[in-house]
Amino acid sequence: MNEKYELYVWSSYGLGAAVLLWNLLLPLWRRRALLRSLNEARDEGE
Amino acid sequence: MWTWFHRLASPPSFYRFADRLAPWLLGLGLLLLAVGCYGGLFIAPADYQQGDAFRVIYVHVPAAALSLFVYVLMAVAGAIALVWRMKLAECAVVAAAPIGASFTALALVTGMLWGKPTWGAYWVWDARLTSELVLLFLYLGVIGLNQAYSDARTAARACAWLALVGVVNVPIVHYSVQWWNSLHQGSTILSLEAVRDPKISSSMLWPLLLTLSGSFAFFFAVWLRRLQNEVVARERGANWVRDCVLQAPLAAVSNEQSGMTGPELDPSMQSRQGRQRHGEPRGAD
Repeated sequence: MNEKYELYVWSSYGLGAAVLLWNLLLPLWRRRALLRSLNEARDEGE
Repeated sequence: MWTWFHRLASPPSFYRFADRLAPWLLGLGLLLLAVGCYGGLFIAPADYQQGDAFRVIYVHVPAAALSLFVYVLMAVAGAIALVWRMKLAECAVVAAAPIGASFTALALVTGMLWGKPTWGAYWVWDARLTSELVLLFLYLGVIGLNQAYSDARTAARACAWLALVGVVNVPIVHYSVQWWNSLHQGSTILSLEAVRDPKISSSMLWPLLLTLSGSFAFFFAVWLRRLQNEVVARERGANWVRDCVLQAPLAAVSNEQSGMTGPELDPSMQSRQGRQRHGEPRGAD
């Protein structure tokens, strides 16, 4: 790849990967937090 | 067919359906994206005018296409939520907004990174760029509105209204390059004219089609996951949540709690969950 454009191209792909990762991980973390809170609520109810 | 759709609108049926579909969509999306990006970076030839700078297209175009598609999807879901008061449609609006916002921001930033070597400037107040920026603000508005209300249903209805009103910006973004003089090029593949008379060589087109389809598959996978979270958060007291959601993952979460190996709760999440335990109706972020 032409060195003149390398930074622009690789930055774009890097940002794209970061956005994919953010979209992938956030629902998973939210789900775990949600399950933990549901679990706690159930334990408090028992 | 209608019966199937009707059944799908019920939260437990949807939850199970999403649980089955999301992993396949995610796998397919990541595979298509990986092959498409490899093709775009290493196999497609350099453009005769733009050189290697054109390779940004394989990130920029899917992100831009998704930014428009997701907003239209939100508007359709918003209309359904307002007319038929369907809970799942309300969740669909709220769950799609952060994904749409992230892809719109990506389209803007990758556009800037493409603009610098080709136009000589990161940003110009061009019709396409400005209307896309307005689209990002609309997404942020939906996210902000959702956070602003303590009642999830009121918040979702406000978001639905904003999605419906804001959808007028989508054709403006799409047709801005035809309606006004613009530095931005016209549609390369997303128009009937481009389908009849392709403006891009097939050696450059196939990775683009792969990254486009991969991005859409990825979007649907993460959207389904977010939708599941929204539905569970709202239906937290329902029996089906205890039966469907808490059965399998409960052991894993309990083990994690004892060892505290998993990620800590987000402070905002903790405060909201605290509020919910004290009787406030808010169920979703």
